[in-house]
Amino acid sequence: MTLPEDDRLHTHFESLRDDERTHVPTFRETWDAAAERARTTPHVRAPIPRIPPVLALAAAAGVLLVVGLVLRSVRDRDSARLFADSTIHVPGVAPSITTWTSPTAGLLRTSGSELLAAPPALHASIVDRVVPAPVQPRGNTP
Amino acid sequence: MQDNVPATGRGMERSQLERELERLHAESWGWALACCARDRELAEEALQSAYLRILTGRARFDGRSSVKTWVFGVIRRTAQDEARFWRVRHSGTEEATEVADPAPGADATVERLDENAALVTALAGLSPRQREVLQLVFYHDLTIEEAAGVMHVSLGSARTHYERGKKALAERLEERR
Repeated sequence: MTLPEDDRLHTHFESLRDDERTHVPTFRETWDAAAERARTTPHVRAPIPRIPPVLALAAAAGVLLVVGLVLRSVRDRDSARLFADSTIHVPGVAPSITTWTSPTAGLLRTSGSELLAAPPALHASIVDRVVPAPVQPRGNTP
Repeated sequence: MQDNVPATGRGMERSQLERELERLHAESWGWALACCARDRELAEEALQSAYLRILTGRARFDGRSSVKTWVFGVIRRTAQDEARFWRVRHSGTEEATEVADPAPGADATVERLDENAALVTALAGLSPRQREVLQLVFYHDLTIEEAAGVMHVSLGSARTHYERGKKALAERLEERR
């Protein structure tokens, strides 16, 4: 059962349809034009394949895992190199705490520090530590 | 109705498909016009592109619906895909309402064309979904269920758009009297 309102709308749309159908391009014309386009453009843009969300998530997780592993291996290598630089490393033997020196100990070494390492002896010059005193001939002793 | 009989089997012979498309061509033209805001040039382009998709196998008939609803779905999708480029090229022609020129001296024709223009203008004021469902039901004689299939919405949603659209359209047409 249709309402009078529906009938009115049907009448309106029928009138529009009749009007528009008087200017329909022929099927042959449209079909042939499409066929021509298909011939001249054989490589029609392929539809973009849709990646399922689960696969996309798995791929993203895989990428993150690989990046994490690479970063970790780089960090491990750097710390191992620092440790090797700062100690005498004997393979298989853990270094003793008494032989261990800080990797930055070299920075505390300044020029002339050996002069102040220990107090000079009485009546001796601090220069003697660096330049030994000349040996005097015995005969010339007063 | 013969149009609504689902074609059997997956896929169709090209000659068979061509015959079906030829039979539906006038209907397809009307739907292409509706999808392109009644712009004849765009409708021709959209219809041609839709046939191209069918010819090249980018759109395949799988026998789940009638040929008519399938073809309408392809036309709708094609028009939507190409609308992005058209919007750039033809900005500001959203409501193209080209109606045929009246024959000189034919008052009845003039009146009818005025009414058609009023209908097209009133339709342009509705939401796209409302416009589509009303066009499919009143112009192409599809059921609301078939219209839902073309529009890729649920039956409930199509019914809502239909009811609201019908009411809004009737009001708009009444206002113009």
